Amino acid sequence: MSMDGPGTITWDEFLENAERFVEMSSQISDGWELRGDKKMPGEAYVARKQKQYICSGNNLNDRLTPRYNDDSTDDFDFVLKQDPFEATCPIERPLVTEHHVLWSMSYSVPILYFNGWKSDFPGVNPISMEEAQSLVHNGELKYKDLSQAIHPILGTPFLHLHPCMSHELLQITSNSKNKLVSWLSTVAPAALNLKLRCEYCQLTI
Amino acid sequence: MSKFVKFSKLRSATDSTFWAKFVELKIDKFKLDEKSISIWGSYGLQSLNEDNSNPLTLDFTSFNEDVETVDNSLSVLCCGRMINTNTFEAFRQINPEKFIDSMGKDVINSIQDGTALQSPWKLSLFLVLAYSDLKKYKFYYWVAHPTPLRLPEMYYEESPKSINEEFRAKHVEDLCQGFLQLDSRTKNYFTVLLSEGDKMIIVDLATGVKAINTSNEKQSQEYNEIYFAFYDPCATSNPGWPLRNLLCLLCWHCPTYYFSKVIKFISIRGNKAQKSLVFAFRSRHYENYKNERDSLFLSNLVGWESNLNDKLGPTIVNLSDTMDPAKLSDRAVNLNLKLMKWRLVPHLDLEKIYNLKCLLLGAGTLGCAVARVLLGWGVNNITFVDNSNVSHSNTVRQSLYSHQDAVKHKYKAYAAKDAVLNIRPSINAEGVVLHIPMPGHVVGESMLESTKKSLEKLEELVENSDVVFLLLDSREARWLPTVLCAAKNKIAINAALGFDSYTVQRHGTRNFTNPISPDLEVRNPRGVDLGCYFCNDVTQPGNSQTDRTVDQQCTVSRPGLSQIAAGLAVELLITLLQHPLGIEAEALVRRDNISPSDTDLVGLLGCVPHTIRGSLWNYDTHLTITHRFTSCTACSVPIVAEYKNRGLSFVLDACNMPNYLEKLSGLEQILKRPDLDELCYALDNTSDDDEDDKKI
Ligand SMILES: [Zn+2]
Repeated sequence: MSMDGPGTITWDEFLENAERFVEMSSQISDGWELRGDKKMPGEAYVARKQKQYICSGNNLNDRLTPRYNDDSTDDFDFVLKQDPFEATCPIERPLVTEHHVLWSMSYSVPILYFNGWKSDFPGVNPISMEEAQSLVHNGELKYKDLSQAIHPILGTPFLHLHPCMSHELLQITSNSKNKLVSWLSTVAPAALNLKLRCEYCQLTI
Repeated sequence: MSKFVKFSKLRSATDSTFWAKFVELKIDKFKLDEKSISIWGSYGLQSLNEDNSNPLTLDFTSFNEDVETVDNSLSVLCCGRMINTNTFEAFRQINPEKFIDSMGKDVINSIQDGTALQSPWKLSLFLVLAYSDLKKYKFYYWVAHPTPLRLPEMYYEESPKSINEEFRAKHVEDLCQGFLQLDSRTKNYFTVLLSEGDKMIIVDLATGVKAINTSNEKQSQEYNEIYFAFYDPCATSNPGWPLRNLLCLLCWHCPTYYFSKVIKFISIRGNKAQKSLVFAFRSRHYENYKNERDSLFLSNLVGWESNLNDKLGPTIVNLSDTMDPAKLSDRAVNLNLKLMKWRLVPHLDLEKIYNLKCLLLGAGTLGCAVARVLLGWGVNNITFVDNSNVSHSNTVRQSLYSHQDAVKHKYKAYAAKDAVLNIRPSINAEGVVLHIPMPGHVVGESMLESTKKSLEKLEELVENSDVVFLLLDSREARWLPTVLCAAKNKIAINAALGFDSYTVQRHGTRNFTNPISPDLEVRNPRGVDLGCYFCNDVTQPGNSQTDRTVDQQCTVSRPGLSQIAAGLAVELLITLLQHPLGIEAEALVRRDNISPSDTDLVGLLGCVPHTIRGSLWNYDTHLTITHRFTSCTACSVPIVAEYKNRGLSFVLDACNMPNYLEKLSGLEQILKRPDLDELCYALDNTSDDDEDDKKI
């Protein structure tokens, strides 16, 4: 077992925090759930799959939303007969995201694994690492921090935020009643703009 | 005049199972058939995103022939036709307007012959035009919801109402319940009647149309109110696209009603119909409405979707990450390398390494070990050249071979190729069985033809490579490849083993015709002044096998040695590739006073020596330099020039004529010089090689 100290969180604390987090989620129905084997340290994690829509035309948001253009679609832009009966309506761009919060045995900190797909379904048109990096505000993360890694439980590639920066974050949040929530709310914007509902804040005080 | 009615367009979505199933069917069943196939699509009613439009979803059940196996009461089922072109060109050349006109005819037919009245799903016909790139797992598709461009204009009689405003609570409940109880195909379109006893009744379109027409004839109303209902996947204030074909159907089957009355429609929205809206429309006044009706279907069809870029064109689905088994292993391999890039060496050029074309001459202990390290670096193109077979004595030392290879006595070149493909299926691997012509190994008449072929093949292989590894088991076998690399200016990496000592070396560059000696005083000479394997020899390579005893002919090395040398050989290459000067990088000799800012010497991954020699006897490693030798029997200007001039006949002379290379290179002249001792001293000073290595 790893040493407990400032900037770390024990498995027991992680699990306790995670259970509170999921309880709150079921109260406000925002879809987080606990998966895996809770009896084995590091084998259980909090996860959510979500589908959202990105509306076009919002310039402020454009910088923080993935590009849907594929170079190879540029060849196709047909001009067809004008149809007077067709209503103009904003284009709806689906984005499926999956976020997993795991506990790292080697660092004794939570780690965020995530993936995003620019379609209605997971697996179709994934968001690349470079794209995920470009979506981080002001590019404040280097690819050192946001990279790709094999999900330790599922064995498939995910984007992730390297745990090395979590030590510092956990130190800052050491007064929190739920370090997991405090930590997650800090790192979430870097993970495809994950948003945590403000209700979770109650868990930290 | 009130607002003119417009319609919101539809959106469709395919999940990965749809394409996985399609690929399976394409390979096993459709093959090259480009005929249209029937498919199902559905609007799911479990969706939670109710503020957004509900996409028409295609998945693996879309291809089921029997509707019962698709039928799901929690969805609205539509039927469609799909055409997949075999080539991208054919896909591009299809005219979308002609395509929708011809493929969408079924909608018009079903309205005109009345079959849509009983089978309302025929009104929501959709079309899919697709091209599937089965190699790249990339799919192009474009969906259309055909409807006539021409439509007698409708105007809002009043603003749309929610069902809660239109109906009392009991009827809202009846409507929602009634909708959910409908068969998934009849959920598309139906009729809602309010009877005189204020009962809500849900019936099919045929019954609704009949009720309209009888009341018209009898001038009396059997029902208090008649609503035509349609499932509406759209979420805007406009009615959704499916209403268009319903309007056409009503215009065709009850024109008097259509052109004179206020018609009420229920747009069924939300997963339990709870968000439904009621629209009340009235037609524009037409002088000759019969004419309007009759010309309804003379127009073209419209209804192509816009893609997520808001363009009229196909959507591209890239499934290589999930569907391609080779890509899966690729991703994992690349991930390790990318981690190195991401975390340690951000400027590492992995593309360059991936694209590198490596020719491995010799597929023995060194060849196998070098290939393993190249795999580790993610090199994607490896060609093995060898002319021997796997024997039982090889398998424990030559890490690519198995017992089975020895049992089958497979050629090493082929066995090595199969082995790397087994390790990484996506790699470009080749195996070539070839005997390399060697000086001193006389080519007799009978061998002439095969020697010619071997030379041609070897020339072609070297020409098509970026790097040639010399991993052969004899000195003279390295001669011709050295000449070819010098002539074609390819990177040559040489590795040779003794019993417990090794030599790993990069050859200097030879794209010049200047025969002047390099400056021997330069501390770290550049690639252009570095020698080759033969540059410090004072005899030409000859038949080393003839005057040796059996145990000398077969080099036996300590087993760990090949792994060490192979590791060094590949790392030397990679360091070289990531050096700003590439093969011209200055050679490292002395390890003291290396300044990281000296970019002629220090590259991204550090320094690149010329020759690394090491021994397991005392675990020593030292770096040496051999300068380019103007009378080298393999890389000097006269040799390269003669090869370029005479090709095969030069090679034959080198093989057959004693001392031919010594004469040609000028080595013979030098050996006769009175100042030979001084010259040798100068040569020895820059390379302190031991006698052991020379024998290799
Ligand atoms: Zn040479």
